Amino acid sequence: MSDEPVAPDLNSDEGGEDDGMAEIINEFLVESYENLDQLDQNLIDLEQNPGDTNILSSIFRTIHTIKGTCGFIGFTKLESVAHVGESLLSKLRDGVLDLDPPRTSALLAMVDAIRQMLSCIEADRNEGSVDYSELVETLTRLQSEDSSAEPTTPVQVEEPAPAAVEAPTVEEAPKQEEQPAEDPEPIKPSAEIDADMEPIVDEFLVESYENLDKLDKDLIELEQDPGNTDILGSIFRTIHTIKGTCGFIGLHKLEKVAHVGENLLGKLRDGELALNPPRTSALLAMVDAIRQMLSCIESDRNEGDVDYSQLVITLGKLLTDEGAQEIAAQPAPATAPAVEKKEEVPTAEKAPVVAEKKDRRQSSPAEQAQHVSKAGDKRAATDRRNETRSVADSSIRVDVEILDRLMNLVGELVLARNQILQFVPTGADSSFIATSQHLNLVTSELQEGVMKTRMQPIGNIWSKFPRVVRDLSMAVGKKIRLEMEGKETELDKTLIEAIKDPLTHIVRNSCDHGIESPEKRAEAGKDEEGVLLLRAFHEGGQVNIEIVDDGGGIDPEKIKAKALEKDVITQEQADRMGDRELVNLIFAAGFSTAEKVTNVSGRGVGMDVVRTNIEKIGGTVDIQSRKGKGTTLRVKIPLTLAIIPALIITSGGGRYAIPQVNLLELVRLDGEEAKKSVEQIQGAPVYRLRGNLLPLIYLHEELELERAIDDEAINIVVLHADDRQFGLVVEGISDTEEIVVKPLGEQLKGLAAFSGATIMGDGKLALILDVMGLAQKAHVIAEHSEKTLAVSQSTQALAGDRQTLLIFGLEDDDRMAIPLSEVARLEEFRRSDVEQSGDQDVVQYRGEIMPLIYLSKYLNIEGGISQERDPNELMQAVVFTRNERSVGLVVRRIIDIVDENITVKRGANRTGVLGTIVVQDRVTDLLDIESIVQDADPSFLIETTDLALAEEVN
Amino acid sequence: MSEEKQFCTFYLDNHFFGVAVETVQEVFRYQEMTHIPLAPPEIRGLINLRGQVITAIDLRQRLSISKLPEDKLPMNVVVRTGENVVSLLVDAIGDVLEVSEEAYERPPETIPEEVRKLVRGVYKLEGKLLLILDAEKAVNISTSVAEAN
Repeated sequence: MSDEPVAPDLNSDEGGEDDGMAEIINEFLVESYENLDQLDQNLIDLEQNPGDTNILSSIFRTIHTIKGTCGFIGFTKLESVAHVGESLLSKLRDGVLDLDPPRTSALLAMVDAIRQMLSCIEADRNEGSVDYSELVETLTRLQSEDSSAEPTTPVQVEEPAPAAVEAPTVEEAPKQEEQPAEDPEPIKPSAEIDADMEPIVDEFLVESYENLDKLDKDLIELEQDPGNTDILGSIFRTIHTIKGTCGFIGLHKLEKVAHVGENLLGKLRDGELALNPPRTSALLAMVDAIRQMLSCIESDRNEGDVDYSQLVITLGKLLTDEGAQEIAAQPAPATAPAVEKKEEVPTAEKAPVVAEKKDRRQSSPAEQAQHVSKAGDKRAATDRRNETRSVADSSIRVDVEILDRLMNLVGELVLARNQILQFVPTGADSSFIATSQHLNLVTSELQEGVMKTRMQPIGNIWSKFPRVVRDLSMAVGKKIRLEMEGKETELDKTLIEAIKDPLTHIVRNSCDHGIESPEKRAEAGKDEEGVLLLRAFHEGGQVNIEIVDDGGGIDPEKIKAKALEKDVITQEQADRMGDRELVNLIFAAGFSTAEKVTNVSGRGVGMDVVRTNIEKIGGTVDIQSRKGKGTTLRVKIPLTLAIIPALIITSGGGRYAIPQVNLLELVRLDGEEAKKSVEQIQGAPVYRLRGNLLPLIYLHEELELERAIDDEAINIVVLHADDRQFGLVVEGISDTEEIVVKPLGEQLKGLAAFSGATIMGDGKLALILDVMGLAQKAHVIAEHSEKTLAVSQSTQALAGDRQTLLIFGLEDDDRMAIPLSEVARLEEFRRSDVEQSGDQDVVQYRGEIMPLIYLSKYLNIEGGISQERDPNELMQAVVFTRNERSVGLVVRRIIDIVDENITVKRGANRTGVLGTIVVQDRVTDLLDIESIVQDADPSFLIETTDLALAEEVN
Repeated sequence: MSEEKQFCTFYLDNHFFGVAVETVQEVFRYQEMTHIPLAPPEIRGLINLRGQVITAIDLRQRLSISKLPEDKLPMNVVVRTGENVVSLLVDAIGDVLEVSEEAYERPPETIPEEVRKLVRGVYKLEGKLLLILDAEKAVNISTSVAEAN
């Protein structure tokens, strides 16, 4: 009856609800969003276990609640969608129909439609203009037809058909509707609640207790202000929800009471009846009765054996004015006896209650009796609840802001504690020591406790993945089973939100690219159904999330080919990369291996964004893949962002913190070694770290500070940002510490070099370096910049491959090139520095004697650098190093360093020239540096003992 | 225009300034600051105010007034504008003054542009003028410009 679409009498205009209504709507939205997430999960579960009445019940209940509420608020479109869905669900529940994929899809589409409308309501306060009549039709059809006979076309919610709005499908529905209410047969009418129902019942109890407290207040307010439709609406809604739910759970006594109450409320709301004291009393009695039954349900799992028929009759009579008069005429409260029966402590409580609510003192004796009974009931309920902690009292909702503030305060406390602990060793007072130890302990526990309040199980975001996987696998025609391990693994709320999107992307990717089609799987001898496993666990103070699929894996060769084609790496880099490195290239920007671009994934963005987002929150992502066996993606993220481990360093007289996640290793170079090891390429300092050139950044230069200590030693902090390594030269390295991250003020947000500040143990501040920002500022991770250039062992594979070349000239207008990777450094010498050793020109260079090769002479170029010139003239030399010996190639001028695809246009016709290439639209000779050096000094490439001798001479 | 009647006053060079008393969180003596490399010159550093990290702005610099002599240490006036808490470095702190609306006048066109754009109005007091600082504008310093240089 009340389930019939209610005329939107409260708000004929959907755009203009008043404030009271707005509140109801907001509440409704919050509740419904929560429910919808659950619904998605439930529907997927249901598809796996179509017979599970428990799940069906939960779904039914959710939809029913939504329907009831929106009908009441006046969202008729939303209601009609929920309504047909409910009808279908009830048939499924009663076993009249079976759940098959088309029905599941339609129900999921319904959930989407509801969600869509909810967001419209949230944004614009109306249901939006999308037409859902097709969906309604589909859902209606699926109720009668054998849906498997005629496969339904996928129900598109996103693309509304431009047809007429409302779908008039509600006709047959009321019958369905009343089933739970009037005809309790489908459900076993047992008073005891099915064990499967337990969670639902608990949830119901929590919700209802909350509602009842509000109800009491509302009813009293209503009596003061009988015409207030807002309050009436709120009451009606609460009772309706309770009625609907308990009818469904099978609590028929409770339902009956709520039902008559609802009828009365309906008439009051529609203005057919006016609220008078007897009616208010009866309604309050109803609330009490409901509360009493709820507490019975909570403790004994049944509704109790109290008879409420008197109350039901009274409420029934009050539906007409005559009946009301009849009741009002009775001197003794007609409702009281019914209520009193249930009381354990009927009197004695009078005084406190009356004092508690002044306005009640003026009410009729009948009402007072009512309140007394209520109080007694309350007490009884309290007694019962004290035995075990009541479900309603075991959890509260807290504003996240309060938690954030608490977290900040705890951070302060930790700092204060650290400072106090520093004083302890000097103060010998034993009681002070004991107190500070206690403070230490309590603070640590408090910190842990507060962190816990912000923790949420990762299952909260995983719950939507079954839906994602199902939809995707349907869309691409695959069979995928999703498994989850460690749903309960907890992490900070802000982090949960931050990883939601990246994780979704990874899951989509795994479904789309990872797991193969059933045919392919069968061919490979695998089970047709692919398995996608999500696993989360704590390890080493971090949260590990693994996304494992048993799909085709990633072929490193394919990746390599693709990366080369897209210029993500050079051939030379590719040759040096191991399989694992190659596989990790999928995180590189502008990379997508999907052979065909699907609407699911493969637009060439994505995995790089995934990595960026994960790195933003201090996490890392790694991928491992075995061809044919599957792929494992491992995401590691910190437990919390507020407190992080960091390395404290000094530079330019200041202290700075570097987050540990960016840290790879520390290198210290002393004295001579320091001078020798840092080399220059065109002014850019580099260090050879195990054979790879590591670009160096001097922190004090980047921060525009004066070096505070003039120490010869060099401290290099090897960092990685965006998968590139670089060395940060700092003046001192202190220690690693747990630091509390503090944001910087608005004025400093633009400084890319810093991500925040922290307070050190001595109370002073230190800035936290943003490694990524610093690297970008120093251009070490500019786009397509060469990664750590390795000194290549051979010159090879020149065709069609991207290389970084050093361009130089021997005459005024010629161009020569050698791969930059061959170059150890570029140097300048004065002609006067050149000495003779036999017939070889040499220079003293870094404690060695370095032979010089005059390239112009070697290549027989006229007009090159002659040996008889101004002694002060500067000579440019390209230093080539092999086996710790160097040779200088004297050139006329250094022109440029370019990064380009090179193609050999013409084969070599001269010794020492590999071929001719076109660089920057200029014909350029590519030199074969190895053979030049070999020709000039045959001993050079052979490891000789001369080396030691040469060094001794110096 | 201005409705505040109570102002927390302070001195900068030979000027007498005031900010609306509601925006002032607290006032305290000179405290050591942590220098921020690359920050614009108006930003003197960071202060640890009971565990809160706040930015200190050199008001002299902001108003293009000559620097405070080395031997004198500035005082901190902590103002709260929206979510922002910032410390303004001033020469000395004055009283909280209650001024009447009648003494109010818009800032004259003749005062230097740098000062005028941060001053909301002038109160003509006996013997001196009280310049009302627009705290919101005063703390609005963008660092992106500084970095571009």
